[in-house]
Amino acid sequence: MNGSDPLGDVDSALVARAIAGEEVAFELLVVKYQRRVAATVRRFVRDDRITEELTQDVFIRVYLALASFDQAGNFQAWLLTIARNLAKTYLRSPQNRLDDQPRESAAEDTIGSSDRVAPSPEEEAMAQQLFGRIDAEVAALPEVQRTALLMRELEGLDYGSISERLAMPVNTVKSHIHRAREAVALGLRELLGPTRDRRW
Amino acid sequence: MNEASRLLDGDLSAAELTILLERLKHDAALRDEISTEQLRRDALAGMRTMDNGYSLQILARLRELGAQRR
Repeated sequence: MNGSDPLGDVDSALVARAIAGEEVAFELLVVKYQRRVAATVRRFVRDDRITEELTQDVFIRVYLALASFDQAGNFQAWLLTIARNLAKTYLRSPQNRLDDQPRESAAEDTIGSSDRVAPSPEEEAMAQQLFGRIDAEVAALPEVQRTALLMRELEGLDYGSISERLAMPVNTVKSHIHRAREAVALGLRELLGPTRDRRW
Repeated sequence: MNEASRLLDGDLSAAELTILLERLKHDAALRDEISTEQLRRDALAGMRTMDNGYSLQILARLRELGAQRR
């Protein structure tokens, strides 16, 4: 690979940059995975406040352990393993048992809309408006764009797999997904201006 | 395709990633673009929560940690 080739595994590249001292690289990993980590922790502890604390703890631990990550490995899998282990450790502590029981399910990696974390009433209203708009914008997409987008985002398929399933060239798939994302983004622009939900 | 999508898809080259990371240090609009793109992707994947301030809280703790270590 030379300097102009696509990275492919951007996570490993970000880990390498973070280890080298570029804090913003780790910030990107936090932005990318915070909801997935929170949803994973939430399945175990079922408490919004504890989920929030443990989610923070997961990223702190990951940051401190970055140098031990095998950069040929899967960062997401490593991160979520740490999240699950931290949540289980929390529940094993006698004072934390309460009435919580781990509810790890066979469908653990299928994240449902019930995985919500401590929304304030204002955030709840904003979220309902935002996610309702996303559904509406996706529903309004041309069928081929909607299908390709959902294969990518919901099923997590790579472009090659989508290309095979839709029997069209990879570049055509990329183009459909790009147009779909742009259309959804345009529809959300008024809800997600720079003064709304700036968190990073 | 915009930079946020290209970043999250792993379509940036190493050289482009270097430039983007440098810009992120002072470009709030680019940070918004990336966090919004990630929110859209998470929402489509069924993770329908707002940021809830996790990023800022986590990053604040990391900075405290860094300060303590120095």
